Amino acid sequence: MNPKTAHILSAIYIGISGIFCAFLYRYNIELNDLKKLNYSDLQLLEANNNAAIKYFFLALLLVIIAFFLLFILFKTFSYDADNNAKNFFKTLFLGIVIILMLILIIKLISIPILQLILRITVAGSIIMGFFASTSN
Amino acid sequence: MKKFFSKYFSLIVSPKKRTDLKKAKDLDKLTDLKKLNYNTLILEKNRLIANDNSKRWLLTGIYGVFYVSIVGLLSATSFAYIRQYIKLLFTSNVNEDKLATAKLATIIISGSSLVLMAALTFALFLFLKVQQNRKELILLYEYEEKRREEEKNES
Repeated sequence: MNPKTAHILSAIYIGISGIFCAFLYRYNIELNDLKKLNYSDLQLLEANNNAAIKYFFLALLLVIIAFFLLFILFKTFSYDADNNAKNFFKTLFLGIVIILMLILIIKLISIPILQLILRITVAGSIIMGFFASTSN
Repeated sequence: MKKFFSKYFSLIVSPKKRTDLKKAKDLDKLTDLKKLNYNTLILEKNRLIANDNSKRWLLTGIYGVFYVSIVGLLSATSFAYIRQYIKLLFTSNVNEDKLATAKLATIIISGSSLVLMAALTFALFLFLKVQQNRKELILLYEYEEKRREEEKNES
């Protein structure tokens, strides 16, 4: 891929994930407030029209896209090192920012949304497993 | 920025434009190869052939097997969850909360599986595309080498 295209795509990704992180941070505070009001895990996940699940899927998508972008930047990295010093530093900078965004997304999604999702998934699996064993 | 988006949008929608771009890139590469020194041409061709050895194809094969097994596992898990949830829906005397928990678990498992399967498919496509581009590049080098040899023989 053309290095310029890779840089523009990376910049768009950084912008989108920055906005996503800001919204996620705000929603995490909202969820913590709801937790203090003794909401159950199920109610927390279903709050605001299943917003927590939407955030989780968006975070998953952004993490996967980040890996693809890092792969593309890595491919252009060696090309830039040989041909254009300015582009090389741009690629290096964008790669580092993408890694930082990745860490931020994982950190923000893990508490409390991922914890809730894991608890609900385990509970749902146990319920379905129990019904499957009793229905056979 | 607007120019960038309109260019890529037209490339996404029009297969003709994609083919034209590919042709233009190949022609540019061919022009670059014509300017190259004969020894450099041979050296670069050899390097490309050495990189395109059976190890790469073996890796593609291993990824193919990994892809089939992971996609199989993910689709089987999602299918089992959806089937079990539908069964649960038609069972009487099920607590509302339990039903909602099972529904959320099904959505989370099948949704995550779908996203992962899409990513793995895209990676497989990318892997094969890289191999194909490398093969095309080798063919261009071979064409240029043959052309120069014919030119030498004629003179």
